[in-house]
Formats: sequence, C-alpha cells, structure tokens
Amino acid sequence: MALGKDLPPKQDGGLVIGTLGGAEKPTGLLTAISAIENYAMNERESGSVPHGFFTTQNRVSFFAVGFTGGLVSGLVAALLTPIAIGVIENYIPIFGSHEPSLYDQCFAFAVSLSFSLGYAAFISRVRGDYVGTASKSAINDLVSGLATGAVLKLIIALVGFHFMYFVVLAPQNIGPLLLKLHPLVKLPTLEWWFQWLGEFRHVFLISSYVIVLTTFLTVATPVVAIMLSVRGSRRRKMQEKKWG
Amino acid sequence: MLSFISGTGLLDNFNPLNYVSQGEYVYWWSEAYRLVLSGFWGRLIAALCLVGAFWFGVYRKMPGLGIFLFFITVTITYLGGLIKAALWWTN
Repeated sequence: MALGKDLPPKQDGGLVIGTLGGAEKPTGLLTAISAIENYAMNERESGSVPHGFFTTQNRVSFFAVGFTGGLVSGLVAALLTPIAIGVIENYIPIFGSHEPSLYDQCFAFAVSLSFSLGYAAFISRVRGDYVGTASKSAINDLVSGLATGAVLKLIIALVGFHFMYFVVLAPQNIGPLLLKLHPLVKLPTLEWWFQWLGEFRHVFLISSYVIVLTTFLTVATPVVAIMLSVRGSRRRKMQEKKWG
Repeated sequence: MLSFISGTGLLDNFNPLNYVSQGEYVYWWSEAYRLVLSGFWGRLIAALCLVGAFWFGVYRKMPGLGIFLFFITVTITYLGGLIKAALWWTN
C-alpha cells in the first residue's frame, strides 16, 4: 500500500532516528503510534531512512499490535451487535423501555459500532505521519494487522452466530436444555423463555451480516483517512511548487 | 472473625435502614433508576458519555478514559432493561 512518494534521503548526514533497527518493539497501540510519530518527525527532519532499516521484527511487532486491536475491538462490536439488533426488533429493552423510539434504535446501533470505529479512528490519527520509509512501513503494517484481525473476527462472528442460530438455539436443542432447569425455574417461565429464544434466534443471522458492514467500516476508516491525507499533502506540495 | 465489630454494633452504622424507612429507601433507589437508567436523563447522560468516549479516546488521545466512558455508555443503555428483567424474574 504505497500511497505516497518516499522522502529522499538528505545528504548532510543529519539522520537522527535513534530507536529504529529492531531496538524498539511496540507493546500496545499507544507505543506503536508514538513510535510512528517519532519516525515521521525524524524523517521529516532528516529525510527518509534507507530501505531495510525497518527490520522484519519491527514489521511483525507493528502488525501484531494492529492484529490484536482489530480482533479485540471487533469482538466487542460482535458482542454488542446482536443486542443492538435485538433492540431494533423490540426483543431487548433499552433505557429500561421495551418500546424503543427511533432515537433509541439509532443509539443502540451507534453503540454497537462505536468501539470498532473509535479504534479505527484512533489508528487513523497517524495519517499525517505517512512521510518516509520507516513511518510508511510502520503504518502499512499496523493497518494490515488491523485488517487481518478484523477479518478473523468477521470469520469467528459469522461461524459463531450461525452456530447459535442453527445449533444452540434450534428448537430441538434449546427445548431439552431449558427443561433441565425445571426444578429451579417454573414451567410457565421456561415456556416464555423458549418462545422468546425461538423468536430471538433470527437476530443472530441478521447480526452476522451487519458485522460485515462493521468490519468494512473498521478497515476502510484508516485506509481512506491515509489516502485523503496523502492526496492533500501532494496537492499542497504541487501548489507550493506552482507558487515558487 | 468480625464478632468484635458486630458485638460493638459498628456494622449496624452501615445499615441505611437505621436512618430511613424501607419505603423511603426503595423510593430513593427507584428515583435514581428513573433518573439515570431510563427516561430523558438516562438518554442524555449516555449520549454525552458516547461523545466523550470519542472526544477523549480519539481526539485527545486518552484511550483509557475513552474506553471507560464507552463502558459507562453501555451500562446506562442496557442496565435499566437488565434490572427490569431481574425484578420480573424475582417476582
């Protein structure tokens, strides 16, 4: 994903990057973003670092940070999505009400999207640092990790939600399972549960495809942000050239 | 083990029913529930927390606070229904 041209290395030997070369390994998103900001600042000052300076270990660690974030934030979204769809379909109460207004339905959907989108937006903050070899490699690896984690989450959610619909909540399976609770729970209550779960289970099928949209937005947010930023800085440079 | 505390009646000081009647106590909690977890104020607080989660988490680069506010949002949004279900279950 080479979105912009590398900065040419400066000839005055003023390279000041001190933490590259595999020494620094980002442990979390914050350290990864700080490292990218550091690389970008140094590359703006001293020009692009030579190819190969950003080691394989560096690349893998940036990828791992993005991957973990994409997977975890996606799983939070995957947990909240059936609840949001349940609210929209009037199965689950929101703000203590069983009759959600349009605002409530939109809010439930927004809450289910927020964690993934917030994570993607946080990663997008590095869009202005897409300047030199090291910072570009780091951002590319971070975003590829995010995309891979998000796709793995999508597969897990798709399989899990279909499993819930076709196996766990299938009437022939959920009935005997609920009956095991009989001494503890009264029969009319169990019957109500059986009916509710039977109607609710299609929410999992809808959710599994809503998750596709969430995943697309999670991956698209940083990619589009970086592309727009690169295009903007290219235009600015062209304008500066024009004006001499 | 805590007999010396219970013997002195120290723990009794923490019992709210020593200061207010049970009816009043239940009324306070139902008012708190009505204010925070349902109705207009619940919706407003949840919306502010969600906006705050983005503001602090993304814009101000404070992800810890952002995640905390997000979980408060989720709690306010769904806890009211959960409490209702629990009350229905126990009745």
